[in-house]
Amino acid sequence: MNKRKLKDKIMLGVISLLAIISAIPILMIIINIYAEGLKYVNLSFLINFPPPPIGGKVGGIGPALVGSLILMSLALVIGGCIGFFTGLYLSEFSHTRLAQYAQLFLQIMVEFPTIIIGLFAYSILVAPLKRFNAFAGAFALSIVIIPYIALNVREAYKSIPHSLKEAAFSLGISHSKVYLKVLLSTARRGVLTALLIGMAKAAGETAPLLFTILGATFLYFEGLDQPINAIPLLIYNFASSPYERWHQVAWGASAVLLSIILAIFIISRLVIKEVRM
Amino acid sequence: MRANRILILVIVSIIVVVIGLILSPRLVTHVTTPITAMTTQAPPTTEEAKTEAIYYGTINGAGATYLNPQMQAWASKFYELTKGRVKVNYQSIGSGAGQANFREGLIDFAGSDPPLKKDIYNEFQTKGGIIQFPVIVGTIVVVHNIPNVDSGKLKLTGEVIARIYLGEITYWDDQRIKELNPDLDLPHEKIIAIHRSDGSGTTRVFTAYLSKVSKDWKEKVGSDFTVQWPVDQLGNGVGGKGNEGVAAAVMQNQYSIGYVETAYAHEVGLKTALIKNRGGQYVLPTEKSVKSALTALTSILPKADEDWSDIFPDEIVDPAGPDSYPITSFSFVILRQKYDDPVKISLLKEFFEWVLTEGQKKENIVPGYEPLPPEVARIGLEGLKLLR
Amino acid sequence: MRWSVKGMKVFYAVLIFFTFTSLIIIAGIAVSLITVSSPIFMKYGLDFVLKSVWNPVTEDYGILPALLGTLMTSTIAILIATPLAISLAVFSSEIIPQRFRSFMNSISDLMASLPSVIYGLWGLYVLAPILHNYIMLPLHNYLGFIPLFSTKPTPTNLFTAGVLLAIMIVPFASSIVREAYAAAPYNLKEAAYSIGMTKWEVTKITLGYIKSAIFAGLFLALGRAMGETVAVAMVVGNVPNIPKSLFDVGYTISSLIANQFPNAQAYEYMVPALYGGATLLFLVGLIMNLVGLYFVRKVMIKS
Repeated sequence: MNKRKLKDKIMLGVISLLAIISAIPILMIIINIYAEGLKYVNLSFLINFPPPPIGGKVGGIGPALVGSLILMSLALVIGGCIGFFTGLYLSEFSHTRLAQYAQLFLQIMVEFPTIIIGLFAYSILVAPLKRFNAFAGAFALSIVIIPYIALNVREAYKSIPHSLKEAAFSLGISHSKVYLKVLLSTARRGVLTALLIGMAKAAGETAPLLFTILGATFLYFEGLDQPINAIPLLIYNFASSPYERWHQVAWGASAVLLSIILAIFIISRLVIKEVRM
Repeated sequence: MRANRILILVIVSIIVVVIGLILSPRLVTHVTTPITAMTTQAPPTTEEAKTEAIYYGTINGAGATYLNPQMQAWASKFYELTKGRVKVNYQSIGSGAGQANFREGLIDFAGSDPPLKKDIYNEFQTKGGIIQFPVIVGTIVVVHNIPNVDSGKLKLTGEVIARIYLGEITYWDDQRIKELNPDLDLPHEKIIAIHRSDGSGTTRVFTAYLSKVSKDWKEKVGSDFTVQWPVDQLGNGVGGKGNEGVAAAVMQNQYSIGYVETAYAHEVGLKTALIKNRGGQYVLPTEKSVKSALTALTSILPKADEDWSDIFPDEIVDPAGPDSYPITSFSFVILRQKYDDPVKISLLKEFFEWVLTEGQKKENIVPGYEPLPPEVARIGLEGLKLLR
Repeated sequence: MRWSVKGMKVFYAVLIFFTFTSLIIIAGIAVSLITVSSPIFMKYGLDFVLKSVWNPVTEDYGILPALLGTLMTSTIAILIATPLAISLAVFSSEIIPQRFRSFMNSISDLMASLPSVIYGLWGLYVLAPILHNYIMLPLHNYLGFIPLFSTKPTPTNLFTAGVLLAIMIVPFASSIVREAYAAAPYNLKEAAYSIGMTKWEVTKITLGYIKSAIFAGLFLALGRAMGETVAVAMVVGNVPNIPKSLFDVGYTISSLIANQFPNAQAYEYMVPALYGGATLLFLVGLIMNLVGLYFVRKVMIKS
């Protein structure tokens, strides 16, 4: 008996230790970003145009912030829709050929260098239209996030106990209601996590944007057919330059990006409370 | 049942929105073109405004990463000067990608470290022609991390640098380095040779320099955006992505050598090495040594509408002149000669005329770059007259 | 009743429609891969896969070092990430107090939103020196006779890239495991506790119950590791040599693409070569997934 208790303590200790180890780099990076970045963030930082490397005004990340918000929401609408229903299909019809192939290829998609996805969007939405445009970027981002959302949604629905599914179907309501109401309320945490991760992914991707939205220094938003900027793109350009001021803007931009995502995460997690079965 | 209907409604509306968005570029273009193309009559008080309308709008450019900080500085200044009338949107995506996008007609101008290759230049000649001209001078420094040797003390020749990257000189106390530095105490440590791993104009110019000063290098390696570094195959090389990658690798690896754009060495605080020029002097990139190099070059430069691929970068690096800094080069801007939109033409002309005149003044140059001498700036100014 | 059958059909049609859409997009990408990369396979054939060279001057490309580098870094990453991800998931759903969970999970999921250039720079400036001084150098000095540790390490190399990847993928894997863990039936746990099992034993049973989700999470993470471009490019050393030890500087296919793409269009064969690399990555993914499927099935049948 004692031996079992001891083993319990040891194993839980090991788990906690490993969890803390894996959380250390995460926390380190986040603390680092806030420590370095928050001091540059104020209202004008959120609105102004990016600054020159030296001289002139200190500037801000206005266009990139606006662009990121637009790209994120568009990508989430397109990618979330396709991803959610695909995931639901994968989970509930996992025995069909279609589901098996879809799942296989979605898993491969995850490991795809996202720059290739950007180039795909370039070849179908940028080159034919003869201009860089925001929509191509949103399209590329939604392709990037589809596999993450679909596979996470699949796991969310899969992990609903069989007994519950049977009970739901025996209610005699339409199948769409079963999936989108009864079962969704059980799987909502997982589905929400899927969407949140998809959104976070869309918010942080640089590579698919390089060849689609071009970037914009003095433009906030002039239509989906025009170049637009995004925070990751700005960070990418500024962080790899040698100039102190651009580094500061990159830090500030990272802090803003993290704060937005963190706020969305925490609010939506609090709204959708945990359910017990 | 209600859930079903809502679902269908949602899906239909999403499809409508998506199709709408896909089609919108055409629609929006239709609507907005007149707006960007709109001209305002300036008040008749100013002399030139009587004859010329003033345009406003955005010009999009993309390309060389190296050019980016300077271009952003110009764009910001010009935005201020014109009170937001001219928005120059330059994005750094790499010289190769910039040129490719320019060929596709996706951007109004390309920034590029090398000028167009011969075949592409010829292709454009049949399609209305281009102009290409230098907008800024850049230098590359050789940096090192030998703990007991200070910045600006280590002396190297092009030949020795080539031998290091060829993997033939592997220790810092090699006779061939010692000869150049009799008063330095060089350690018996392996040289770790750091280079750019991403394709870059910096590597293009650096390897052009090595090709020019070392026959072996020219035969075995050559010059390009990326080359196959012989020192890598011996296991003594490390590639860094971007200048920041090289700078970090040099800082982290004791006894390493590397090359970066001058701005990087300054801002990061890397130790630079003196390089022997053609006149036999050991020099660092200073205002004087760069000016000397440019003076030596001016006579050989072509016109803006001519092919530059023969002289760049092989003829430009390692110029004559007793004070010249050997690894000096230009960054280019490439424009079409014909644009459909007259507004674009005036905006491009206005901006680049400013860049080549006011823009070259000390207060508009970002540290790490050097301004063009007036004779070189004239190439671009002449070229801009061809825009129509 | 007729209504509901019709409604049902519409609903399933919608599901199939979206699944098809996903597949069509993937097919489109696959087609673009094959068409763009075909010149390089035409020119070099299998040599492209078996050669170790990257020489734009002569337009001579071979992807073997990058392919091996990809396999090595992602293996390192997944070996490190597996225990960490499972522990993190268990920790956040079993051990810490309920009211911190939402925050903790948010922080962990947040990591997906960090642009990978931030990971890259962090890896380059913070992680690489730490690993170099406290792990790689000691390993090399004391265990250098083992071939794995035989190269004198520089701070940036394949091992550093593997560790950085592990850090990046832990949140991905753990979020799937965590959600499945939370959704495991409560009465399973209750029953286990009621017969006097310890927390660890209950955890073990629950983990066994969600085995398939754990596999799914790890697969997703592994895929993420293979596809990561910019972050790896900053810390892998970027030298096209065939790796002989853990501490060799190397390349991965994705980092090769990140490094070379900006100027690739200046060459005739480089874009096809980079797409060729991506095609290989696709094939590796296919093989890996098929093996994984087989493996999962075997486990499922056993239990």
